[in-house]
Amino acid sequence: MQELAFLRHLTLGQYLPRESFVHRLDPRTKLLGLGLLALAVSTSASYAANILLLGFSFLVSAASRINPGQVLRGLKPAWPLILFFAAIQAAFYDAPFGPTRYVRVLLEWGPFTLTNAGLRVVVVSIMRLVVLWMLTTLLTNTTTISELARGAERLLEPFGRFGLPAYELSLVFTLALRFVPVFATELEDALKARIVRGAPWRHGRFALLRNAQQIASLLVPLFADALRRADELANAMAARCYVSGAGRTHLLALRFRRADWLSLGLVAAVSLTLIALRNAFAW
Amino acid sequence: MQAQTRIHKVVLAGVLSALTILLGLFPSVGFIPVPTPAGAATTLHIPAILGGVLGGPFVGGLVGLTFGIFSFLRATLPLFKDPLVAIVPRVLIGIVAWAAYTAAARASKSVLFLLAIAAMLVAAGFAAQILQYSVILGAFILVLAVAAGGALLWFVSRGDKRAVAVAVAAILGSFTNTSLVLGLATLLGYLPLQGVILVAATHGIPEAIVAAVIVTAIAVAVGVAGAPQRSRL
Repeated sequence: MQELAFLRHLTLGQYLPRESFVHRLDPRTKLLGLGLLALAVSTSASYAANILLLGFSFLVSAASRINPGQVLRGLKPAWPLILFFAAIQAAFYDAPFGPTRYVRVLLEWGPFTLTNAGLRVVVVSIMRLVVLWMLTTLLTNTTTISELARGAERLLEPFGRFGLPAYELSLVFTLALRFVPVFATELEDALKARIVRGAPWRHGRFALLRNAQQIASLLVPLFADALRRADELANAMAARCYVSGAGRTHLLALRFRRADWLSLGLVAAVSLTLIALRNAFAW
Repeated sequence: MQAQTRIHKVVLAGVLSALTILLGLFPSVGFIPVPTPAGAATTLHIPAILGGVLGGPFVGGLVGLTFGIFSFLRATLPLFKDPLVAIVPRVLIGIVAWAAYTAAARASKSVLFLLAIAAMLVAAGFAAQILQYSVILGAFILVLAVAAGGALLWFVSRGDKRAVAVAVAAILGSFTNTSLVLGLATLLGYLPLQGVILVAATHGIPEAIVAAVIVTAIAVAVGVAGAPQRSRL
């Protein structure tokens, strides 16, 4: 019955408490930094730029006092699939890509054509994947979920004048996170109740997969109950006049410090340079 | 139980986002084994569809955004690590579902009937294409399309109008997910065009059917569709 302990598997990005430079940064800095670097990653098609970004990711990892090997471990089980899709991509790509302006066929076999551009696409895609994976994992490793929610809300506040309800969006996010364990427990309880009453349950390898049919039939009651809960909660909030974010103050006050400005400046310098010079790389 | 006030919409979006994340964390509920190339049909788009039907375009779009961001964060394939491929189509799931629901709820039975027949023909057309590659797979999809089409026609003629509207919203929402994700992936060069149409049909059709069945069941369970539950006491 151990496999039924759903709550054990609830990790939405593991927070690793450490004393590091990156841990102490304002969550807004980290979110903006990730955004800028992600933009730089998606516009860089050259090997040089991607190597630079990869190096920068390792730098961030060092500044967070988190072992890069540990960060990359999450990708390990996916490698066969990554290589499979890379092979498919390489077998059909025949347009110019990035610095590779003249397409040259390297290998041909039936309907599959490997070109120099295809090779670049595959290598760059994998490099991009590694960089983005590292940066997003490091973000969740160094920032708690509540910090992230608060940071996102503060970042969205200026858009309030255009009608974007920053507080409500943050509330949606917080509610979502609050309810995930509640529903997981409910799912687990419902499943156990069925088993106790004699429903078939298979053990051993791939237990959860072989019992998927059972678990899937719980989907409708789970959703129906969740929707009823939502209705009740909304009524409760409305009854207590907790309906909008106007005039609300917060316990967790976010303040930019010198370290934040410096980090943001560095990230902005790197990203914006790479974006501006994206077509200038020869290799 | 459609969300009327602002606070209802906020809470609905939060709860449905929680369900999206839950389904994503537990593959046993997030994927239902179906005989398709991928082995299982995803159910992660169902909360987004429900958001669109019950809460309107904003709620649906927001839940879709959660789906997209979650998918982006957990992606290990370069294909899905592209925010454009992972996030944009998903936001549209809820919006398309809402649009389809409102349109279908207002359409007359005969219009829905014609649409169901048209959908069946399109699906059969795809199945015919697949027959060129693999007879077994093509035959299977053809049978599935005809059976589902027949069921939909029966449903339209006998079922509750709102339930039909919900089913239509689910089918179109599911297809938005399949077609836009695969379409953007092809456009950005991640996948070859020839294989994509094949995958879209063999995977998209069963997934749409699963979504329609589950979403309609949920809608009936919460009272949005189907005959009102009257106490028999």
